[in-house]
Order: sequence, then C-alpha cells, then structure tokens
Amino acid sequence: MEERDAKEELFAKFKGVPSKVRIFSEEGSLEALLPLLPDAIDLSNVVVAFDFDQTLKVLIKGQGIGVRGGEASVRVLQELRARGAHLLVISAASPSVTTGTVLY
Amino acid sequence: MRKEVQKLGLEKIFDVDEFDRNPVWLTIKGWGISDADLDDRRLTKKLIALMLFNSSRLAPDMARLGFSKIRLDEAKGKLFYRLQKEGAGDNSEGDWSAEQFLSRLALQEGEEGVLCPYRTAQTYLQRTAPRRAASTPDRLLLSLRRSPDGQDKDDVGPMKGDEISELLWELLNEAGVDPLLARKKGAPTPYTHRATTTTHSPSLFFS
Repeated sequence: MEERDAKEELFAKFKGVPSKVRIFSEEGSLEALLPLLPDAIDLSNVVVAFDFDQTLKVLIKGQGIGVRGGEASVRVLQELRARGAHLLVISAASPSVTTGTVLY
Repeated sequence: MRKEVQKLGLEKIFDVDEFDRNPVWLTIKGWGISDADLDDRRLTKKLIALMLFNSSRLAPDMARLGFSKIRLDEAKGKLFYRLQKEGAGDNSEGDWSAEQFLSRLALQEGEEGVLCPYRTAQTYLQRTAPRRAASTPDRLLLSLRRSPDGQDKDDVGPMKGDEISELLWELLNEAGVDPLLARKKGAPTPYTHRATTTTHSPSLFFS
C-alpha cells in the first residue's frame, strides 16, 4: 500500500508535463522524431526515451543487428545530444546479445 | 548493455555504467566454501545473487521463478528455469516463459565452485525440500519470514518481491555497495541509461 501511494505521488508530480509517445514504422529512421520536437535549438528541457530491443536495435536483413534506420538515425541521435536533449534508453528486460535474435 | 551499445556504434551517445559485481562475489566467498554450512538466509541471498547477476534477469523476475519448472540437468550441468508471466494465475502452460538456463561452472583443479549457481541451487533445493512437502509452494524461493503468530516458518509460502528486495539490499550493504548507487550503476533492475549523466529513480529494486 505504501509503495503504491509512493508511486502515485511520484506520477502526480509529472502529471501535466507535456509528453508524447510514438511508435515508429519498422522501415523508417529516427528522423520521424524531429517534427515532434520543439523548434528551439536548445533541447536541454527535453527528455527523449527509447526502448532498446526492436526499437533502437533491430535485426537488419542480411546485415545482422543494427540501429533502426541506420546512419540517418545515428545522425538524429547525435543532433539531439548536441542540442542538449536528455537521451534515455529504458528497457523492460535486461538487454543481452541474444535478446534480439531470440525474438526473431 | 555496454557491449550492445558499442556494437551499434552508439557509445558516444549513450553512457553506460556497469555494476561492479566483484564486491558481492568477495562477500559471498567470505561466507565460506560450503553452501551446506550457510544458514537459510545467507543461502537464499547467495542463490538470488548468483541467479540474478549471472543471467540477464531482473530483480522482479526472481519472484516469478517457478519451482515446478526448475530442474537441474546433471548430465548437461545446467539449471533450467522458467518464469511465470506477469499477471498469470492458473499455472497453465501458456503462463510460462520459454525455458532458460544457467550452466554449472567448469572448475579448474582445486577450485571449489563457490560462485556456481548450479551448485548453490542444488543445495537450496535439497535444503528446502522438507518445507515444500507441507504446502508445496510452486515457487523456487520460499519465504524466510515467520507467520504472524511467530510460529515456525515451514508453511509461509513463496518469497515475494519485497522480501527478495530486502535480501538483495542486505547483501549489497554487506558488500559495501550502496544499493541506490548499484541501481545507478546498472544492477539488474529495469534499465535506464542516460546520455548525459546516469541518474535513476532511487526506490526499491521492485519498483
């Protein structure tokens, strides 16, 4: 009960903070993320969180494990970091070398 | 995680701190070479740590390990286990994950296998077998808490997440590792890796 109350209290703190959740297409890159961000150059008040397996990390046919969207996505991540955005990877399961391959 | 991030070429974007298990292993080694000599609490803590830190499992998974699905394969030297899916209730086959395993450590001559999850699980299963006869809890880990009336602990059922969290907390403290710092350093809890600094919600392992 205490734990649940603590969680609810924590969630309440963030209630009202603008947030967006997007599921990107399998084929695209993270460039699709850019239109969702504020126009400001400084993104230090922005947190961008990614799932890892099957989101950032995907199995690319004929190439093995890679970043979803390849170099274009890496450029987006670099840009976000350069603009001060806080980039997080939040994964429900502890990632491992085998996680990606098992799911496929 | 670090290897995976490196493999993807993202190491300059995501900083990954890794939890140093060595203080935990040193603490466990300090308890002696024989699992049979450990009291129930230490034996349970040791098994939890060995399974948790030697696998890709998360702390909350420990409460989902099913006893009936645990099996030690002597010939293969493997400890097989399955996890009950979140929210599952009727114990049907579909409620269980695919079988996974931890291997028995191959020992060099003279090594005692102090940190072998297979061997510790073997001792734990033997130790808890009489307690299971009474109520046959379907989980690997049995609670060490006494019943509310203070009577014997033979029938208090499976260990729940909060007790596992408490034991992990104790072990990390005994190892001189700040449990909150361990969370930041990527102990097996829901992972959060941050590009600029590594900051995590300081709450229990089972949050």
